[in-house]
Amino acid sequence: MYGGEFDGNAAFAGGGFMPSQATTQANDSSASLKNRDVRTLLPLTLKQLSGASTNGESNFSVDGVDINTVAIVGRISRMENRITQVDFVVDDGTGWVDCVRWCQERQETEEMEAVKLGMYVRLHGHVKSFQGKRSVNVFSIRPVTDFNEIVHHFTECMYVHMYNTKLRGGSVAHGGSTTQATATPRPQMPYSTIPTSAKPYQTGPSNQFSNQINDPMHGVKQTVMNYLNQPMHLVSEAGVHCDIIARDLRIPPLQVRQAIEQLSSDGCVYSTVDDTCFKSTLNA
Amino acid sequence: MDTSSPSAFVNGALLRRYIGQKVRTVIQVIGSDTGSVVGKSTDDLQIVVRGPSPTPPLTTYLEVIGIAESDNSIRAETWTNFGNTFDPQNYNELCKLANGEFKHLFI
Repeated sequence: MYGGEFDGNAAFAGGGFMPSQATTQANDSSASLKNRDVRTLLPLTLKQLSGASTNGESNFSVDGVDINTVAIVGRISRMENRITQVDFVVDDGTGWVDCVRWCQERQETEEMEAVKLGMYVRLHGHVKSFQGKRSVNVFSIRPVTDFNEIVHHFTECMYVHMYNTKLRGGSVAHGGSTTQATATPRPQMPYSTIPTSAKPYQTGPSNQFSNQINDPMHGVKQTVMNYLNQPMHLVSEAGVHCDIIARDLRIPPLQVRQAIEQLSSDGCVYSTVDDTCFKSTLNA
Repeated sequence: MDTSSPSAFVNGALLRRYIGQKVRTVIQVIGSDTGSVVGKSTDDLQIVVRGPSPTPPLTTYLEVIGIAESDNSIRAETWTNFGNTFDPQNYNELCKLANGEFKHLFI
């Protein structure tokens, strides 16, 4: 989402001659997954925002979910245009908050010109705190034209609140960890079929396993593992010939071979009689 | 940031809970008199709104924010045109939830 977040440190680190911190971090898929996980977009009422708990100056959380970006719908009750920035106050019926919109690009100025005093608007921004006072740094704002949007926004606030409190209750706190849905825990299986846990409500893409993003073989490996983990194959000492796997699953033998090679180096399968027959390492 | 003077989402039946306090509701105008407007609330009850009249042109649905004076009248402070395609049943359900199970998110 275009948030206008220009990370000066990352862009200029190394003077452009060395790979910056940001690019090396981007290659580490699990770190970028964590960043993606933390980027939440929460629709909130201003009452919820004022009640958000904080640990330190700029870390807020509501219902156990870290606040990154917020969506607010309310009326502009005060507005002051100072050319490079616009200071305004948004009142959504549950409270009011000071907002600031920095206008340095033409597109930003035009966006603000469409917004007038007394109008209902939808805005997205980051929450800031200064000397105990909370305000919103707005990066996206537009007038509300269909007023069903107001009803929708508050309904969504209630839904998200309920989702984050009731549905996530009992699972491990920080989004991204699995809950054991079955009675027998299988912690060693990276390609397990355990269903993913309820994640905090967020509008970005989210993946359970970091390997999925860069791994085109993931689907095939998963299918092969599910096949080899069937009880009749787990008990058979000789294992299963990989051509039989290919025939039963209707996957090209070459793909099955490739999948099995990767699974074998990950320690999920091992060869039995010779290097064409394989067994899952589960319960081995 | 301040939440000390919220305006409660009300329909006709909930208005009595907030007498003397700031409320907001959506009505459909069914008649007007000098200095007051008679409207139909989202739960089909009559509400009289006194004070400054809304400036025309008016749409079918209007939001009024003001102080509740009795269980069926409001002293208006702000009027907003809410258009002709507004869904009153959704708004009615929102009022019920905002005053019931999810009241802590609003007031």
